[in-house]
Amino acid sequence: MKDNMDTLLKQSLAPVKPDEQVNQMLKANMEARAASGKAGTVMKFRKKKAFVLSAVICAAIATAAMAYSGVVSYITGYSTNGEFTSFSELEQAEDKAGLNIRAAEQFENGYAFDQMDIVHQTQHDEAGNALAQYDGIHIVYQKDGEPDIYLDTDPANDVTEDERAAVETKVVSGIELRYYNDTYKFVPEGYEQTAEDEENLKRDDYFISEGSDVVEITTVSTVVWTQDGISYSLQCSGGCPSETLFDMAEELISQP
Amino acid sequence: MTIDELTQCVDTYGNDIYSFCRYLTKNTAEGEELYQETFLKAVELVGKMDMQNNPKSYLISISIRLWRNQARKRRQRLYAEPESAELLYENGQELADTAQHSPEERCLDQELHTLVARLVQSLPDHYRIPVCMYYSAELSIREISQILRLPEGTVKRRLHHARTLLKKELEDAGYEG
Repeated sequence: MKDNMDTLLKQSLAPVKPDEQVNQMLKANMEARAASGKAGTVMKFRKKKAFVLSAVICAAIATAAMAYSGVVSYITGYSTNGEFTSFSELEQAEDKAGLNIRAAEQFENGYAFDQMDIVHQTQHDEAGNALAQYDGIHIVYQKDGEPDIYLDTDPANDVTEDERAAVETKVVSGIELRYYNDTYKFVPEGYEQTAEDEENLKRDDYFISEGSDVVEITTVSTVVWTQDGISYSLQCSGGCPSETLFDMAEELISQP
Repeated sequence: MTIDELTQCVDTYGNDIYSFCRYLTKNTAEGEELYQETFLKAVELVGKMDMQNNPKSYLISISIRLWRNQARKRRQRLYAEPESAELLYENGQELADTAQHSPEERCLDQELHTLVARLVQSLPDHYRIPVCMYYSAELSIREISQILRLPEGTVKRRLHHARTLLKKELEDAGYEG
């Protein structure tokens, strides 16, 4: 019976292979932690929804970019968690990230600074090899009773630029603002796509991302632009009218 | 050990560590998180790890330490709401060799294996952990005794008692050895 039980236990508790993306993200996070030399919050799909959204969008845009560049397949990110809690620390954050950005402590529409982090990002090819690394600055703005708005800033390059046709555009001081309204379906691991999903995925404004505990559909509105070598993105989960984000972008562009 | 060598360990030992973490936490999501935290912790300790000195055992010991620390912090039973054994076992089919069985046999096998996985989940931890280390992470008796800091004889006795308990449970459920 021992031999039978041995065999039975070996079969019943057979090793399980993790999803390939789990290992790819793990390796990227290991490299990031080794590079940073200190503990921080690793971007995980089940935590820190705000960063998840940004990371997902970065990955989704990077995946879209692959259609153009054929190089970058996805981006992974590692961020410190609430490292900067005061807008007065912006200069410190800029020094750390090697960026010189436009940001506001408060916007005229009432959105105010909440927290700021450096996001260490790695671009990967399809095989998971790291192609390039760079740092961005991520700022969260809050307003009572309204969804948070995120300002992401990265060094401008082919991948950080969103090259899709915009839903709406506006030109401010010679700079083109592009507005997107995307649908994100967050699903649990192992989710099986429906026929409706497959149809929706043919659109370039519909994304499915694994990593949520439940199925959740969210509209994400984004305005992007590039100024002085920095790629900017103002992003609102739950959907924002273009005017809201255009006005905020204009305030930043107009800064001296 | 270098970071590159540690990253290589993800490919070499990842299945065993991942499986162990899932069975240890009884939950896919928590198991995956523990799996990631194990390797990230290993990054911090990479200077102390030696490629010649059984990195898999070292990684398993990190998993157990992290899991116990988390349990102490939670001050509650050492598992979240356990996932159904069916779900934990389901992915195990990816690596199990069922190619030679008929559909009926596969169905019966799955039913039996699901039951066994559920019974293992319900074992007391001092039996369940060595069972998972031996059968899921495929560690030797010696490796288990070193990680758990138990005499080899104690490990053997616990595995023996676990098998005896499981055998009785299976017989009560109508399965014969």
